[in-house]
Amino acid sequence: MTEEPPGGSPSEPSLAWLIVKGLLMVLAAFFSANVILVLHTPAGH
Amino acid sequence: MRRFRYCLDPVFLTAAALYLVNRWLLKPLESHAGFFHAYGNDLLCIPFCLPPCLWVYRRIRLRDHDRMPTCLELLTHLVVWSIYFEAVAPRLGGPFAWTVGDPWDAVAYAVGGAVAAAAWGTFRARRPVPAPAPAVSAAREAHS
Repeated sequence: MTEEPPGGSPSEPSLAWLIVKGLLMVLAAFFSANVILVLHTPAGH
Repeated sequence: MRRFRYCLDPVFLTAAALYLVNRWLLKPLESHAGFFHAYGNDLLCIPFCLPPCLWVYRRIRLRDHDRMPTCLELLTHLVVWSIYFEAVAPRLGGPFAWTVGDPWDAVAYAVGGAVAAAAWGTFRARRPVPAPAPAVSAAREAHS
């Protein structure tokens, strides 16, 4: 995701770019949640 | 602008130290119904788990900067993790059968996240990059 957001500079991202980034973050958070639960054993809880 | 140091970040290191204190000192001292037993780890969820995640995102180029965690990064993880840990995982069973849904855990995530965000300056307005001073610009033009 290093390319410039379409339709705007990095300092002023467009609404569409923010929505795409938000969805990517949601997806990443979902995958990381699974990793955290697998790594986090009940003994440590 | 301060550069985020991921797993060397002071907030992460403090959370890691507090996790060990909670795990080995506070929890053994109190019953299963005690505050630290129930919510100690949950308070540390965002400051402890978010920096390593952001480090991975940086490596896979999902994150394109080394600034402090942004509002978007913090809020999406807070919301997704709260829903997943407290509402979804307890219903999945299998490897997640040990999880128990508790709405107060989500409150603890939010409180821990708010403290971490305050330390990271997440909700502070980002200052625009200042334009070069006119004298400097004039000097550059004279040289070119």
